[in-house]
Amino acid sequence: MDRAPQAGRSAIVGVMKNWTSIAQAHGLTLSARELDRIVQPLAALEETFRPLVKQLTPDLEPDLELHLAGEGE
Amino acid sequence: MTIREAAEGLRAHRFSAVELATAAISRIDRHNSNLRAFITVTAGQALDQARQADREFAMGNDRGPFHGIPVALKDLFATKGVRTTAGSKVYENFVPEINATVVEKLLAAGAVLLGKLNMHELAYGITSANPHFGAVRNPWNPRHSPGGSSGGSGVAVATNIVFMAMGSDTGGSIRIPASFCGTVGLKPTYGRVSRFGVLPLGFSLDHVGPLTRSVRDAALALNAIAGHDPLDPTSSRRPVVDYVPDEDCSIRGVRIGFPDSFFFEHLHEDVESAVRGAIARAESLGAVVKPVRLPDIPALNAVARIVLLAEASAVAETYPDDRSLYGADVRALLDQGRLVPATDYINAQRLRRKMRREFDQVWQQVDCLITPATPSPAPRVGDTTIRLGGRDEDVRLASTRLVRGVNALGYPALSLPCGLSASGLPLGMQIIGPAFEEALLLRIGAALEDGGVGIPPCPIEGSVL
Repeated sequence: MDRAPQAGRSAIVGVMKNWTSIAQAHGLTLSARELDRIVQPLAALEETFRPLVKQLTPDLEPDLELHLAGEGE
Repeated sequence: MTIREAAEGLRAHRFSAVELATAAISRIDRHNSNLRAFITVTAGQALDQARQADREFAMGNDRGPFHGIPVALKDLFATKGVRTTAGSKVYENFVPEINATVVEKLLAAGAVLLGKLNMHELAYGITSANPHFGAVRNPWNPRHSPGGSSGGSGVAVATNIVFMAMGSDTGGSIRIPASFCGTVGLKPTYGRVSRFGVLPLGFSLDHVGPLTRSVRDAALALNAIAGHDPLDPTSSRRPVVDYVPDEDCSIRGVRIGFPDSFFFEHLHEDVESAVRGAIARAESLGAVVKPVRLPDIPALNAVARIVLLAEASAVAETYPDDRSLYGADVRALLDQGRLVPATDYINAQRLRRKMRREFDQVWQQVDCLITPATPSPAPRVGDTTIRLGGRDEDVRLASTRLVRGVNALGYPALSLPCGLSASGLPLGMQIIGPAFEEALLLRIGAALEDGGVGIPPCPIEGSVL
């Protein structure tokens, strides 16, 4: 994993998404094995990602097109 | 033999372009059934191009270093009239009516195109165990993965079939096969090389670049393919420079950053030893090695993964719904991406801007970073986990964790071989620099190569000539 799961982190994050329900709501009718293959990585990723989102401030805009320093010089 | 040596041989009439192409075709015939590096071989077209190159040499028309040189393309570069599959069933019978800009540039430079290279399905993975066109095998040991997604590109270069192969890199897909196959791999700055005509995986993360046998060959390739392209809306207008390092290039005084965390954690002991050895060699050549604290790389990797999941699934929205068309791993990733909410994608892009601002500060302290490219040598084919530093890791996440974040930042990165493991597999290091500083990375890489950092040729029998 990019970052090993840490016990107790969910207490910081708050409520984590129920990816199984979300997958089923999207109409994915999959075997338990296939569903697990989707849900587990998303849950692990969210554990790292969700706390980062909490750091965002309203003035920070998305980088939808990557414009790098020195562009146009 | 490198591109430079082959170019000298052609001009000295030691061999012809047709002989070079014939030798390459012969090696494809000999090895491709085992290694599965090529999906499509364009032998007839290559020989026509080689004959044309020889005619032009005879008339005194010299197109430069790639004139008459055999090269090949990952099978997601559009080639006019030549099937372009992206390693997928979706594009199994797709024959483009145009060439990708990179292909046009290589043809204009006189390169001889040997064919289209196998890859991970849709470039969405790192094993190149393609379920439709066969699993690419590592020529150093066929029981091990060549890496991916540009696995065929790494193999075709490592086995001396071609002098340069084009790859693409969305989360390490040039640098990982370069590391596992023992070649040089260059991911240029985002926008430095046109993506027009290259099947997208993640629009804002995709980069295209060369895999070669030497750093100077990578520089020659960048000279041939870099530059503004009005057909690519993200193409940079920043002027190109001559990227080829001088023969006696120096790195005296260059400030090399040695990351004090993450990049040197949970490594295979042979990787750590080889990369530390290369850094020591850089220091002995006059570089100044400085410990440097980096922004949160695992966080950056998470951001890059969210962006990729969403963008790749957006691209795939137009693909057929028939789930049997996709390998299980790609299907799972596409499913995951469809579940990522728009808010997460937008917030990942906001975090990306924040992290790039933080990372830009690093370049106030150092000129580049040297890190391992992959934390281990090539894993065994079929392994899904790998044990590193006392913990088991998913092979895909382990293989991408040192390279993925750079795609989100858009910075250039050069992978080069720096040793062999005890089991005889290549080990790769990575030099990362600020945007548009490819020339610096190539100079550092060339100085290290000149200074003895590297590996012997792949032991697969024979050479091109």
